[in-house]
Amino acid sequence: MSFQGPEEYDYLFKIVLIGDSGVGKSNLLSRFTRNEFNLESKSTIGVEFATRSIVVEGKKLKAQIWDTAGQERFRAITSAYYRGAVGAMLVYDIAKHATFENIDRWLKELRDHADDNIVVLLVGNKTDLRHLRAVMSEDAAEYADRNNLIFIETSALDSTNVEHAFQQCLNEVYKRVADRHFSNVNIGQTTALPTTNLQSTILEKKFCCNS
Amino acid sequence: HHRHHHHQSKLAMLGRTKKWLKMCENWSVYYPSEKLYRRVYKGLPLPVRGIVWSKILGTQKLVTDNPGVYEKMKMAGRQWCLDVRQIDLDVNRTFRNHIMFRRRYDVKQQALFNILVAYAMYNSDVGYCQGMSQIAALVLMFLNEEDAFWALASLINGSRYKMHGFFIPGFPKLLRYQDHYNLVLKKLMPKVKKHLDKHEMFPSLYTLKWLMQCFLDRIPFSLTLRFWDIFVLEGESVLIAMCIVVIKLHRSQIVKMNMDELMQFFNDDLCRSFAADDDVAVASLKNTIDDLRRLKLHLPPTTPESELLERP
Repeated sequence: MSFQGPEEYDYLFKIVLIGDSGVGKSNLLSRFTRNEFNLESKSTIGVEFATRSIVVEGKKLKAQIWDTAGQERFRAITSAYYRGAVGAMLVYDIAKHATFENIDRWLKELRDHADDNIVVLLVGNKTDLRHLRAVMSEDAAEYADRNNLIFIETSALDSTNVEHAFQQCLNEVYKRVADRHFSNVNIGQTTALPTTNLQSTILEKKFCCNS
Repeated sequence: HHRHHHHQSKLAMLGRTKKWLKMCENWSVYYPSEKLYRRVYKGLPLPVRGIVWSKILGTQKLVTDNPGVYEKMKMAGRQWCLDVRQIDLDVNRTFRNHIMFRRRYDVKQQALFNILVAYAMYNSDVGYCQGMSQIAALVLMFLNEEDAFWALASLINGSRYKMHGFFIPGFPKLLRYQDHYNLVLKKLMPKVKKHLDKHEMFPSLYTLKWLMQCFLDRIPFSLTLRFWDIFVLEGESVLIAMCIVVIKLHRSQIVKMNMDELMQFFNDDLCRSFAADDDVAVASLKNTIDDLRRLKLHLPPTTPESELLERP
């Protein structure tokens, strides 16, 4: 019997990446899941996801990370995918102030469509554009503080803090799950399949299905 | 031997180009005709693709009927278009791997920007919607700026294509097509559908670019061009058929994949390693179009008025 199958994990956590168009959501995702950055990346239309597993306190957490279109019109389609998400990365571009100003609206989107206990990170991306910085770290940190968000700055281009951002998000989700914060999801249910359509995104798996 | 073969295919291509030029000179004789249809399915030779698309899309007539309109829309768009930021962002991410669009703010990138801001003015119900930049860039590869604008207008407003409903807020046509595709899939390949459903790979997750961008970025570029030749000729009635063909040609792979693998397959693998070469895929498309027409499944139920542009 082998336990090395790709489907083996203890928890499946659904995380959503949201924020204005062009802030680097897709590259944050590809940097974390495949260690890739694409200068010619195409705009995401609708939703896509990729996964990566990490180990926290001896538990294997599989993160299923959903990347969404930034253009406002697509929220009609994408907001359905917030359902069941236990973590969210709210991304803005540190070199474009307007993308930071819009964070309020994205936060409202989350409050309207996602679980109340969702872990939310405020992510200032593109720190490699030092000379073009338009959003001060202090301002963003203060905003995060006021709204109970975890704040971090990243660069998908040079990898700075990307790993750390996702780790922090998953750690926090794990902590809340361990403390049973997510009351409306079925923890402890054993299922062979990852699930997206979730009243139950947090799936605890005891053993591998393809044994 | 290889050189000989290369020489021969070049000759064949020249021969086909000549035939097409002859048809273009006597367009009213050949269009529409059985012969022209057959030749479109064989694929348009590169040197005539622009001319033929333009003729079928009725670009010239639109240019003559609307003198000065493009210039006016372009100027208005540069001043008033609310989507300039989004358009500029997307021009920066459209076909950057193509020689024409590689250099930032180069001629073709400027033309693409102009067309999109002008169109947003011309059709304010649609404005600018992501997905349109890919289509506009494709026609710009074969047509000059003003012709490309009217070609885009024909694709979005023309009664044969009606892409309008794909791009307006709420995306009514997209949802309607996804529902219909799901129904056809259930009828023709119930096992594959069951597998996809089991892994929660619903049509909403993978058919968006298939439908809104007519397969741009989702299948190999050479096959996309072959499909577009047929799409320009036949119109929206071949979209569902192409969706079915993509699944049909890969069904033995698909039924072995889990959710993660399926996502990767639809997003990345398909455009790099399509299971069939272009001729085989087009032959399969031809058969599927015929089958679906026979079954009256090639189109979803009639287009509601609300999905059409009222007045351009």
